[in-house]
Amino acid sequence: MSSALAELAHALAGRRAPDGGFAALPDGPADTESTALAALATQAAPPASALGGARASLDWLLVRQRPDGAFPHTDAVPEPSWATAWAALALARGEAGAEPLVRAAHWLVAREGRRPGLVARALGRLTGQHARLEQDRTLRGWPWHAAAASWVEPTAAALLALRTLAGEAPVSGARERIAEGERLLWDRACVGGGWNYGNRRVLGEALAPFPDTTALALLALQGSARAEALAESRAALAALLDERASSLALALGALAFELHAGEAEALRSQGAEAPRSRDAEALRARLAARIEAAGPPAETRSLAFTLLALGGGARLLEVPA
Amino acid sequence: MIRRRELLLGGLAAGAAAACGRRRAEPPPDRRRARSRVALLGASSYDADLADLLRRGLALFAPEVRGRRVVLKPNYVEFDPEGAINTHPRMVEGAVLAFLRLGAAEVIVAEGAGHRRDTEYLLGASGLGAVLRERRVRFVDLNLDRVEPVALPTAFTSLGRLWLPRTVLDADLFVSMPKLKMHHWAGVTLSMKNLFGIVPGAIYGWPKNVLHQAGIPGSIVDINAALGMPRLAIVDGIVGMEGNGPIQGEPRAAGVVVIGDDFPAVDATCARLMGVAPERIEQLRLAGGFLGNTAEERIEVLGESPSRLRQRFALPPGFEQARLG
Repeated sequence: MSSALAELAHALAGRRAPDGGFAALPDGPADTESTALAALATQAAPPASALGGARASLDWLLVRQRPDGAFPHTDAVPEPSWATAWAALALARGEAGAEPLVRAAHWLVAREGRRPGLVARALGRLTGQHARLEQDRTLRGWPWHAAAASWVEPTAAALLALRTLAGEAPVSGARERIAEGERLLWDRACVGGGWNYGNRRVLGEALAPFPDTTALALLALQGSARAEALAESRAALAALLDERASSLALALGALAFELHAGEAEALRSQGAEAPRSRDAEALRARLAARIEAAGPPAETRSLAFTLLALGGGARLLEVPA
Repeated sequence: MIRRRELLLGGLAAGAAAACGRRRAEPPPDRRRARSRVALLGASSYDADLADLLRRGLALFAPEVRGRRVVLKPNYVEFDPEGAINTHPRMVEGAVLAFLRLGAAEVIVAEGAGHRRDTEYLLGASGLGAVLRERRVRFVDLNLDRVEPVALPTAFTSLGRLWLPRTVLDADLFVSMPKLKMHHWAGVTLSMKNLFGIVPGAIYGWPKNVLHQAGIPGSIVDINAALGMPRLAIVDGIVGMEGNGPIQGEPRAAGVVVIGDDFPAVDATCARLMGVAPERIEQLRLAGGFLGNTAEERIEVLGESPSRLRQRFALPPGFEQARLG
């Protein structure tokens, strides 16, 4: 595994622009999500030569933070990005100071997905639209874009960030948003466990979960009181990580299993079936073998999560109880 | 029952448009030709020589591709090994070979999946990645491509402007390669709806819900009206999807590939092949007013006879009134 780790660290360092920014794909423009995840990954398994690079990436983020606390997509697309959650998390783990974190937390608390109003909800019930999706549209979660409804991945990222920031950048309203965001994730869970982008049923037919979004939701729901539902989704994730699973899915799966190992162990002690911590180890071995065979993932996000999974980075995604 | 539902939905849509501050729409300039041509090519299997079939079909439209860059946009919104969601990889391969044989300098396959962010998975699991490697074709993930702001010239939504990928905007010829499918929100999803896949997820997310919030039919038309480069559509109808598409519907063998250079005309013809009245599909009704031809009498069908290929695809719930009489 160590050779895979070295190859990944080398590949990531090679993608860093002189100003510390990272692009989603080589030759693209640096963006907030890629830079934030790369900064996290560099903090996870830093070769001595990369430490300065991590600082440069955090600085890349800091100078781009908007007055409202959000981070832009890229320099060319200055609109506030859903990736603000990842930027806040990277800065928190990089000990960037409280002030930018408080501003980011305020922005996250204020951000919410579009919800239908009372009249639209009433009309939706009358016309049957309400039943077509089976969603509680009153719940506030987080959207990808200001003009969109809330979906699983941005909600999971915002929950991870706000739960992490709760200690060092507490802001008013965060606790309520966290609780409601968790309810939204459970509302959108697939039949039989797991998550896709955020629809459990359409027109009465159940939609299948995806491994990457399932793992992200599990990361966001660490410590949830709904132990049985968590166990169901962990089992769903284990089943999804079949031979077709990508590097990203294996990496996120390994991180989720590692951070849920304690809860799974507690269930097992009560006689229940639950994935073991060795499942995370098995996924890491599969991931390392894939990297050695096929090389690092093309997308910086996948590369960063792979490095986090193989380089002991789960602790950076662990949220306080 | 349907009348009440239509009235309520109409009121809901009007209210939503007002609430969103939809821009007041000036009648868009009429871009319709006097007559459009659409080719129907019979093909019963993906094992057929699709490159040759497409080369013959493309010859009917004589697209200027020699020395040009051609961008193919198939539909890989997500993948289900049991389903018929995607433009078949063999169809994409056939198009690549056909355009190269016509002298294209470069053929790029580009997609911005709507549901799955995990492109490595999509390319690997669907088999498209293997085809692209074998043929040494460049793939561009439109969700992550460089973008430019594009002002939308029409106002069927309040979007006003969209960031769109440079790979598409810079194409000498843009080829929409959808699957012949039903769609539970849009009625049908064909060459026009396929353009939702050029809207970058990195900005708008997965799914591209901004377009749903703005109104699906209006978004389809606004995006299509914004593209100015030469275009072609190649619809994979060898096996299509009926019922609750675009993901959960049932595969339906239709044995046809549809080609044309007028997207509304292609989509209207495809709708009729599936037993759907195009004038009852909102995006086709809107597009047929200015963007392209949807009226049967203004479309010359080449190749196979439509009556021989026409089927009655199961309609998505809520679209019963769209059945062709």
